[in-house]
Order: sequence, then C-alpha cells, then structure tokens
Amino acid sequence: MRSSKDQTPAIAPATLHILLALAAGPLHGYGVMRRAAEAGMKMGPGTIYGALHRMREVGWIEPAGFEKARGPLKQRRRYGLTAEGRKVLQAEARRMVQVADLVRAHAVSVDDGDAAR
Amino acid sequence: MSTDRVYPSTWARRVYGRLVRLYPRGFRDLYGEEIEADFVDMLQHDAAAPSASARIGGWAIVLRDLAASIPREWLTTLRTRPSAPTPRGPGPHPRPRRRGELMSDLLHDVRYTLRTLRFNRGFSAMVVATLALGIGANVAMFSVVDAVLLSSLPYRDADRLVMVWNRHAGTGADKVQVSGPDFLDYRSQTSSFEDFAYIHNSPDNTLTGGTGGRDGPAEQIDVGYVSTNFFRFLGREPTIGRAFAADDETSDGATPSVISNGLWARRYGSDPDIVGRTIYIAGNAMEVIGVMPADFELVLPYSESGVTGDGATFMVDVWRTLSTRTLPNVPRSMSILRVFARLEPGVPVRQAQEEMDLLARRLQDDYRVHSERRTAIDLMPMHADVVGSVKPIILSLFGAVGFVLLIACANVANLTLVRAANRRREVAVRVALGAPRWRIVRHLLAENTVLALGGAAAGVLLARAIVGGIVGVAPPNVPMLNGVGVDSRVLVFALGITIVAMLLFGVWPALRGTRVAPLMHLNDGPRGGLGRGRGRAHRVRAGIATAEIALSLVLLVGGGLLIRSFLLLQGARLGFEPKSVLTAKVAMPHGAYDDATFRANYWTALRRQVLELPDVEAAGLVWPLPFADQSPDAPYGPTGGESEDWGRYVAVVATASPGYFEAIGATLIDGGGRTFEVADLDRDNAIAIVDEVMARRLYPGESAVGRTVWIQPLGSDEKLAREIVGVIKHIRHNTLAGPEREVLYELATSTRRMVLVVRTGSNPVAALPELRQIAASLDPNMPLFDARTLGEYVRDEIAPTRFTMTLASAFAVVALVMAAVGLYGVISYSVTQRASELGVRVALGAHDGAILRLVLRQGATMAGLGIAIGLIASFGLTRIIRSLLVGGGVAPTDAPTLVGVSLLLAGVTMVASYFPARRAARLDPVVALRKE
Repeated sequence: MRSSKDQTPAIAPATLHILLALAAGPLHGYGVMRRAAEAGMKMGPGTIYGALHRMREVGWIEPAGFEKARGPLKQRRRYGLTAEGRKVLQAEARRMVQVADLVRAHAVSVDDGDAAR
Repeated sequence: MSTDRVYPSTWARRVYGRLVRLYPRGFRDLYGEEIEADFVDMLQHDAAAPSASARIGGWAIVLRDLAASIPREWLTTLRTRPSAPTPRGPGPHPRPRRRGELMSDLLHDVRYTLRTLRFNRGFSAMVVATLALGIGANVAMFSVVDAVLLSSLPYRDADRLVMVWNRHAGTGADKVQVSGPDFLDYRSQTSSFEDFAYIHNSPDNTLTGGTGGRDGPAEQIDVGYVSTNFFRFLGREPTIGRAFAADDETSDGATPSVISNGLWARRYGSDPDIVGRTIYIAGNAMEVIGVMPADFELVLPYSESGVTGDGATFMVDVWRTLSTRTLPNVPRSMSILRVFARLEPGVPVRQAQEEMDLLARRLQDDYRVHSERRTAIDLMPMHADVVGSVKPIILSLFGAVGFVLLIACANVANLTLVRAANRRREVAVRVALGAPRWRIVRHLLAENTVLALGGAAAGVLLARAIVGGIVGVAPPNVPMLNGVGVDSRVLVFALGITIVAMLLFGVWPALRGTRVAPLMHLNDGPRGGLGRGRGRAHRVRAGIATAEIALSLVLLVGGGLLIRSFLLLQGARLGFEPKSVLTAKVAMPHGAYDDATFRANYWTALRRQVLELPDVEAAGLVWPLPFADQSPDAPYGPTGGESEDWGRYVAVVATASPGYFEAIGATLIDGGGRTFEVADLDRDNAIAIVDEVMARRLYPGESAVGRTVWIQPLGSDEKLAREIVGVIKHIRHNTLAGPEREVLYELATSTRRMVLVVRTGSNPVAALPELRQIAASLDPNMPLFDARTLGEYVRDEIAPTRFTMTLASAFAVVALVMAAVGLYGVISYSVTQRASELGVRVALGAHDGAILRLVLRQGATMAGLGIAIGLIASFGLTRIIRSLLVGGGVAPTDAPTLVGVSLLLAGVTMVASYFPARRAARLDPVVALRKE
C-alpha cells in the first residue's frame, strides 16, 4: 500500500525489468528478453519492443549502436540507459524498499510467503 | 505440417510472420524483423531445455505476448496515424484535415475494433450473448404485437369497421348479438354508416352427397348465413365463380352458396368445375357459385353470449344467404346475427354511437322485448374488439421483455465499465500522447456499435426461434397470429431497440471511461490506482446491479403470480372428473328427422349400443358440454306468475340424458335426490336437475328436491314448470375460477343436437372407432364429429393462462440469471480491486469467515436494496399485473408469491456473491500484497 504522500508512482513490471536488464550495460532486444527471463519476468518480443519504443520516446533509454548477429538479421540494435532512465530506476528501487518496510510494519512475514510460493 | 527439422518449423515461422503483420505498419517497420528473429531465438532457447513443458511454456508466452501487444501498439499508433510512429517523442501534430479522412477514420475505427474484440473473445461473447437474449426476446414479442395489435384486419377500409352489439342493461349482459328485424331497422334508420353486414354462424350442418354420393361420406360442416353484400363489404372476392348478388336472397330453386378453399380442396379435390355443382346441406340442395381464396379468414370478435361456439377465427365451410322472407320474421328476442358496419368516411365512432343511442331508445318504446331487456346498442371499433381480450396480456408481456432488455443493457454496461476501468491506462497513454478525448470516445463507440450489431444479428435469429415457440404455445383466442413473422417492420424495430440499447450500455460508459487524468494512471500498471474515482465507480456499478435485481424481482413477481394462478386453475374444482372421458358430437340436420319420436328413439338406441361396448363404464348425452359449447341463458324463479323479480336470476339451461351425470363424474349433494333414469323417458318428463347454487337461490335453507322451478326458454314468452328431482354439485361450464351462472338440466328426449359423453375404463380414444361404427350403422347421414377427450377441453381452457405463464416465467428466469451474473460480475471485480486491502486484512489476522462475511454483506446489501425497490415497484404495477391474471383467484399482491420470489432472488444472489467471496477468503495475503 502506498501512502498518499508518496510522490513516486510505481512503474509497470515490464518497464522495471527492462531498466534492470539495461542497468549493467547496453543490450539488444533479445538480450533484454533473456536477462528479464532469468530474473523471472518472461516477456515476448512484442511486449519488449513496444516497451523499448515507449521508453525511448520518454527518454529513459537511447540507441547504443549495433551488434553483429548470426541468423537472418545481420545486426541488432542495442539500447542503453540514459541518465534519466537510471534516475527512474533508482527512484523505483527506493519506493520498493519503502513498500517492503511498510509490509514489515504490518507484520507480514516475507519469508513465509516466499517459502509458500 | 512441415517435415523440416528446423525448430521452430518453417510453418510456425510463417504463421508467426503473418501475425507480426498485425502490428501497426510503423511499428512493424521499425521492429518487425527483430521481433521475428527474437521469436526464433526464444523458441530455440526453450527447445534446448529438456522438458516438453518448457517448449509449451515458450509458445504460451509468445501467444499471450501477441494478444497483448498488438492492440497496445495500435492504441499508441493512433495519435500519428496514418504516418508511422516516429521516435521523435510524443505530441499532437495538428495538420489540415483532408476530405475523405473522416470516412477512412471510421473504417479504421471499425477495423481496429474488430481486432480488439477478437482479442477479447470472452468479453465479446458475453456481451453479444446478453444483448442477443435481450434483443431477441423483444423482437419476438414485437413481432407478436405487430401481427396482433398493429396490423389492421384483413378487410377493406378496416379502420372504419365497427361491430354493432346489443347490451341488455336489465341483466347486464353485453356483446349480445342482434335480431333480424333489428338489423333491418339499423340499416334503414341510420345515416352514419356506409353499409351494414351480418353473419349468423351455424355449426354442425350435415353435408352430404353431390351426385350419387360420390363425394364421400356425410360430413359435419359450419355454415355461415351472411348478408348478400358480405364479401363485397369485407373487400374479398371468390377466386373461382362469383360472390352473392342482391337477388340471391329472393331466388327460388337451389340456394346459392360459396364454399371455403379448405372444403373445396378437402372434399372436391380442388375441382376447377365446381361452380354449378349441387351439394346437400341438411338435406337441402345448394348450388355452389364460388370458392373463396385460401387466405380468406374470418376474424371476428368474440361474443359474450353467442348461441354457438365462438372464437376469434370463424371456421366457416359454406356461406349462404338468408331468405329475405326469413329475416324480418324472426322474433326480436332471437339475437342470432353478428352485425358489423362501415362508418361513412369522416364520421367518428362517437357520432355514430349517439345516433344508435337515439335509435335504441325508439326501439325500446316500440317493442316490449327491448323495454324489458332495456336493450342498448354498442358500437365498438372492430379491431379493438377483436384484440380486446388479448391486448392487455400482450402489452404486459411486451413490457416484461422491455425489462429483460433493460437488465441486459445494465449487465453489458457493467461489463463495459469494468473493461473501461481496466483499460484506463491505455486511455491515459493516449490522452497523454495528445489524442483528443472525442477520438477515444469514438473508438469506444465503434467498439460498442460492433458489439450491439452483433447482438442484434444474433437476437434476430433468436427471435425467429422464439416466435416459433410463442406460436406453438399460443392459445386459440389470440387472433391473427398466423401473420406473425420477422418482417421488415420488425427489423426496423430491432434496429431501433439496438440503438437504444447501445445508448444505454455503450455511450455512457464510453464517456465515463475516458474521463481520466493521465498522470494518475499512466505509470501505475494495469490495475489503476486507488484514486478517489474508484469508490464512485464502484457505487455506479453497484447501483446498476441493484437496479437489475429490482427489475428482475418485478418480472419474478409477475411470473410467480402466473404460475400460482396456473396451479390454482389446474387444481380447480370442476364438479366433474375429466379423466378417461371421450366426447363426440352428433347433430340431426334441420329439415329432416322432423319426427320427435324418431329422434328420441335414435338417442336411446345410440346410448344403449354404446353402453354395450366392453370398455365403456357409463355413457350419456348432453347439450351443451362444459367448456365446449355455449348455451343461451334463461330466466328462472320459484313461481311462474307475473312478478317484478322475474329476470333477476338467469341460468344456463342444459339438456341431459340418463347416464350423463354418471359419465361425466358429477356428484349429488347430500340428500340431493337422484339423477335422470331411463324410466324417466317414458314418464311425464317435466323434471329437472339443478345445481346447488340454483337450489340455494330457489329454496334457501331447505331441500329443493321435489319442489318446482319455473323457466322461460330463449325466444319464448311462456314459462314452464319443472319438478326438481336431483341437486348436484356445480359443474363448471365456462370458467375455471370465478363466479359462474347456475345450471338447470332438463331431461333430453328429442333434441336435435347432443354431445355423446363416454366414460371408459382405460384409454378413451381407443373407443372412438367403435363409437363411429355404431353411429354409422344407426344412420350414415349422422356422423360423429368433434371427437375429443374431456381433458382436452379443460386443457384448452387453461391454455391462455399457460401461455402467459410460460412466457412471463421464461422472461423472469432470463432476468434472474442475468441479474445474478451481473451481481457476480460486480462483486467479483470489486474483490479483485480490493485484493490488496483484503490481503492486509488477512495479514492482520482476519479469519476466512470474516472476509467471506465482508464480501457476502456487499452482495446482500445490493440484493436487499434491489428486492425492496422491486417489491415497491411491483405494488406500483399492480394494475398491469392484474390484467395478466385472467383466470382470477390470485391477487396481484398475493403474499406467498411475493415472499417466495423474494426468497428465491435472495438465494440466487447469495449464491452469485458466494463464489467471489470464497475466492476473497482464500486470498493469499502475500500474493495480494505483492501485486501492489
């Protein structure tokens, strides 16, 4: 639960995972997909590129050159975080910590829940 | 399928490539190749995993991804359409609008809509099905309204036709037919009418012969005696031959007759040379002069006091004229003509009525029979008269389906609202990207239009089926139903209600759904925030669900009352036992069998031979049979002298043979004397059996057995004394519930027409062939006809109530289901929305039971409020509901029904809210919280 004073709005899980994937350095679309999948967020290509497109429009990510590729595509476009994107990610991380604190304050055991799932 | 070893197969790649083409062009150009390449990489990566489930999982992700992202990309693309989305950041690009752009926009909307809806199959199917039910039921009922109430009668200038009835202010009898001399006076002494015509229906005439008997055995037919202008008056001509001419009434020789298409085909094999043929009716030679067309149907109003079997449709086989010598010489007390007239153009009914009132007064002054009866003349527009008895029923049912449609719209509105809430983020994105609100509204409207049209199309198809069903269960007293069908007028109506439905369920949610503040919804995931708007939105949805419950309660009350009144009629005390009883009519032609002794012997022989059949337990003769034929009323009293009181009591006079009361299963009251015996036939037969009602009226508090009753038969000035030998319990003759005329039974000796009533040991219909054989052996010219079981007559009597009950309760059940689904949807959605709140409650130690109660209470509040409003509304609609309860016996505020349907509705709504409540109670708090 968020308090009304909290000024940072949550971002969509897809967006968060893309930001996370790109935090370590530029990747192409498929790389983002793999990284996100490893983190437990399985997304299809349509979702990835749609999100990348919109994040590029709002200036959170930017093109970062090309990478040679095998297969029908000779090269793949890579994307990297902008300063703005990094700021959004940090803000989101802070928000999540606050949420976690809030949950603990409500005496909900996080460990049990994880074990149950 | 391909045999390629590559994975994914080339076939799968091709399919995926096709699907990728569904993305908007600009997006596809930018990312299409990469998406396809990623698809291959992704599946190959999954294929490396050992388990098959990984492969399947990969495909699941791919499909879900397409389903979600294609519509999303379309939404985002719309702001810059038709150019591709550029990476250059958001913002509206105002540009001059070109001609034709609006059209292409609309086309685009429709294409886009179809695509969106395809990806929301569940939602679309739900909406289309709900609308189809609502629209289908309405279109079907409208077809009936159109055929019965809105179509004009199939006659020339039908709107100027009026029925001319007599009313006896003395006894209160109305819709009485007119006598011959009166008819002539009406015609000659009035000026408001263009013309008059009449028909006298004479059923059960024996049609024989042709030449040398080659036309087959004797047959009973209905003859209509009509004025010579009859067919011209109605605007219909024979297809073969000619209609009557004025001199047909005076001609000597064979009586001219016009025959029905049915008789022509049935008996004469559609012989084109029929005109000029001589046929014999009741032994009289008639010359066929014409054949009426197959679609000629005589729809005339029901007469309350018709002498013979009345109905909405007259089944006449042969029309003939009455001799001009006959008409003026019939006594004025013989009301045998059904008279109708056509008003002069421009003359209102009221003006004509005033003229008739004056004439009625003059006739009362001139004739004793009219002053005694205080005969008034009533004009009634013919169409209103024909549909009079069924109009309130049909309109009420039409109202009921209107409710069903309202409920359907409410349901769909709720679905749409929920969907709009779920799509709020998409809408917010588009608003943020600069799409004008009207444009988004237009998209939602396009979507709703497609859904509404889908619902309408399915509804019209459904309506055809429903109409078939309605015609199947419709009782015979609904006139003009054979004209019913889904025609262009009905389709226009369907379109009309579809537009109304769309306005109700589509426009308003669309307007609501687009009233979003972009910042609030843009970044907080698909579930929307906990903004202030949510509480209001929930109240709106809850309000709609409550209204649905209220509406469906009203329908349930109507349906419940009808079921109760149906059950009441089914359990009605008839005064006889219809099971295992077969009836068949026998009539002696007029003009033959003039010897009374011969007639008496015939009836005795018929009864004796029938009794000899092995399975027959009892047999008797009667006229009229309960629920089959009408009988003229006759005044009666304990004394025969002149008295002021004479005419105050009126009874049905029936004739019955020995054995009749045993055959029909009547019971004598305690100390009620005896029934007729065979020996009575040879004695002084001035005896009578009366029912308990008459016995009480005549001799209150005393035994009527052995006392005298005086009656005055129809058309006679003479009063006759009868000794009462028995008193039976009342046998219902005309209605299953409500007050009825008392009945006096005279001993049948030499009547011309009787109904044979046979009680059998087992299957009554099995006895019919033997009965026919007996009748044929006694006299081949007097066949049995109208053979039916007594149970069938009773069933027909219940048929109107069964009809109304079937339709009303079907509509009520549909309403109930829809309301339950609606409530389920609202609560279900609210549980999803409150998942985190409920999760915290569970985390804070709330029991499963507490959560269950919390959610159930939400449902109970809506249900309780809805039921309360519905009950109040039902009280408000009492008058309309009463018009449905034709059989009587059940009050519109019948407490057991009201309580019963309220409980039923409460139960169903509780079940509907139980499922989401259980889901809420089983909520895993951590999962619920993590979602946030």
